[in-house]
Amino acid sequence: MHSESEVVQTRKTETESGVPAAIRAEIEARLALGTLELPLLPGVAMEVTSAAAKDDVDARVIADLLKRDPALSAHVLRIVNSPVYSPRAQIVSLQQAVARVGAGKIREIALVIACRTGVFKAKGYEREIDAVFKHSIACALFAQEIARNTRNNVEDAFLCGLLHDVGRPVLLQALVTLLRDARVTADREAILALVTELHAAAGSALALSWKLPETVVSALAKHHTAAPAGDTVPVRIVSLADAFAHKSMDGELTCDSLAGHPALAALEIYPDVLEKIVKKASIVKDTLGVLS
Amino acid sequence: MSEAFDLIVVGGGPAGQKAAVQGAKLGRTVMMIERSKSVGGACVRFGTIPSKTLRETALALGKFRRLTSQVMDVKMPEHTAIESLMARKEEVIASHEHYMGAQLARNGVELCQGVARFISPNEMEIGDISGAKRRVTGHFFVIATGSAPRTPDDVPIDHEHLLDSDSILSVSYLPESLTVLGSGVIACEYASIFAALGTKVTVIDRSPQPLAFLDPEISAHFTRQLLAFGGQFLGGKKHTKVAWDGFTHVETTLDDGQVVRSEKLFCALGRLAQVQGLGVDVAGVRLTPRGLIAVDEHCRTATPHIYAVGDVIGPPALASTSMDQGRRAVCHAFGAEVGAAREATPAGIYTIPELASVGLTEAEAKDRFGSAQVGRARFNEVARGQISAAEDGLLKLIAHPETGVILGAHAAGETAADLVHIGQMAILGGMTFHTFIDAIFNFPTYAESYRIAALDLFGKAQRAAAEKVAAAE
Repeated sequence: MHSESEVVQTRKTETESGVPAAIRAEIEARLALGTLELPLLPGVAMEVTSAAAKDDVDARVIADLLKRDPALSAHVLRIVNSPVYSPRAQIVSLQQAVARVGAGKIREIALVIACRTGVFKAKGYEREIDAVFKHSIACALFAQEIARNTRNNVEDAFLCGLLHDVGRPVLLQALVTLLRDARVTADREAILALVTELHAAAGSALALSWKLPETVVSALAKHHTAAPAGDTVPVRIVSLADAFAHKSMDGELTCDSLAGHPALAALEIYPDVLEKIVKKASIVKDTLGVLS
Repeated sequence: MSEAFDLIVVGGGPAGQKAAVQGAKLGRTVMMIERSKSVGGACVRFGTIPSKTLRETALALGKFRRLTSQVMDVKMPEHTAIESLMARKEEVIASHEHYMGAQLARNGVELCQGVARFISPNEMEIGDISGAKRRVTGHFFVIATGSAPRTPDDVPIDHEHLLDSDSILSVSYLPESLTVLGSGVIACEYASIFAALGTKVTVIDRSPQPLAFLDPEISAHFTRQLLAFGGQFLGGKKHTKVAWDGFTHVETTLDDGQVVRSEKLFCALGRLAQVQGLGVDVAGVRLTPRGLIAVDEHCRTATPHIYAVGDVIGPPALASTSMDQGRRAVCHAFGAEVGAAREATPAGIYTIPELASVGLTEAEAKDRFGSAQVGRARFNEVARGQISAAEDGLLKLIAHPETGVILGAHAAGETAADLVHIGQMAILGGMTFHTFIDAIFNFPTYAESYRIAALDLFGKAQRAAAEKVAAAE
């Protein structure tokens, strides 16, 4: 039997031996210097999210923007016609879609799709990235419910949840490219372990480059290392939503399964409120099926 | 096995804190149970501290504009993050928590974080965040669990577009427009803060006058300033439908058919006593038809060893009166001496401008004595008001029609909440307005307005006397 610390040590050694030291050093240096190549938020999605946030938002303007990206438009129409958004009748036009589900929801949908198509991809790791993406959406939806029940900002919580693991695909893409260019190979498990180790830093670097709010940058940076007492509310929410999403996707989400999570005490979530949020799992599951 | 205490206080807001400290000062063993880890209750996180911090920013901006005659204007950038306007909030909260925590610790009060419910009239079960339970027994109990926002069935609060007083400050950015349902203290305080920061605010209420318990001349200052900020008050109207349009705005339909559209809606239609889950029925504590805990003049419930204080027993539900109730209840429980309850309780409303009141209004004095003497001092007659560019203010003194004894003092404008305390002392001391004429006040101060208002009273009394003589001749 290995002790817990021995197991951690063994994993670390494997990671270090699996990915060549020079590649690891290069990735770490790029992260430290801010030179890691980061994907851009696709232009149309960026414009849609920005237009939807304006006070005098016009459904026609957003519809026109969406039309410039046929794939995005198709995804939006598919999603708004799903039972989750309860269309009273078939939605056939983009303008109708924006008017029906609201600019705020279209912004969320556009951001989800943009991340899916532009960011959450890494050749050879499709299965892993797909799982990360689904987990991210579940995390975003649970973060919304946690925020609603603790009287915190609902929109910020969604964004933080959606992007909390965005560093994983970003790092995977960078690692795959570096290994290919250096003509070296590395153990798949070792690559994924290095990604897990560094994804929070890569995610916050991406959020900074996309000029996302400071709350998002810090939530992405700290969602695994959160010290609940001293951290910001979005960090605590994402840390807890992360646990909700993992348990939910593993089919193990119950109040007991989350007992003892440090963010519960930090957010002052008592068992009665926890139960209310856990009960939202079926809605999250339905929405997840549609969005992913 | 249950731990035993002489006094168990449920709730750590202002009323609970004072009750707990008073019990400890009387040499009793005290436990205070609070749901939140912050001493001070929800008001620390959702209420007084963040809202007043935001208000200070709004006031500072307004004052900067006025003092520089608009030469140096401060324009709020589009989508200003609310958090950035409350930069001092965390420091204020930390300092408050430290002070209150230290006071409780110094007095030996055992603080317990959790939710409590009566399992018998003398025993409570406390559940912590993890769900773990413990039991405690007490000789006396003080319920100070406060209140929570009331949400009418026809206002679908989602804490995203339609907010209540617990979630209003969770919005990330200053909304371009805000509809406020209600015109009580909380409604008007937030309405004026957001309006001062540049949000287009519409206040809607059934009452034709906002802050209906105030003298109309005083509340008119709130309405006038709201208009000056670009807002509006729609009095005498009721919402018939409130809904998020699923797109960009909340639509509020009024009983006259008018539709008000705004980016966010803030519902402040009263508060409800927080007694859910407390097991009041098990303890034999009775509720009023409005859901408040019924108490006698000593704040004692139907179960004599259980007291209730603060918001949970209803009006006036001010922090100041709640603290006094907490102290008095505990003194009564342990047979300690306590002075007679004071009638002249001041009320301070932190709108922009600040409003305050103590004693009888003009209408109340006329009702009680047939008529009343009224003296006014406008802040544009007071040097301090001119210097501070805060000329829009008023002190209104109400005196007995025959004796000239001060019955009420009502103020609007800078430092109004402090200013009425002078009037309060005059009421408690049974002074006449002549006291103010003969007194010397620091110059320049707002306190001088008492002398000006008293001279106004004196002048009117002289003229009335002269007219009486002339009529007799």
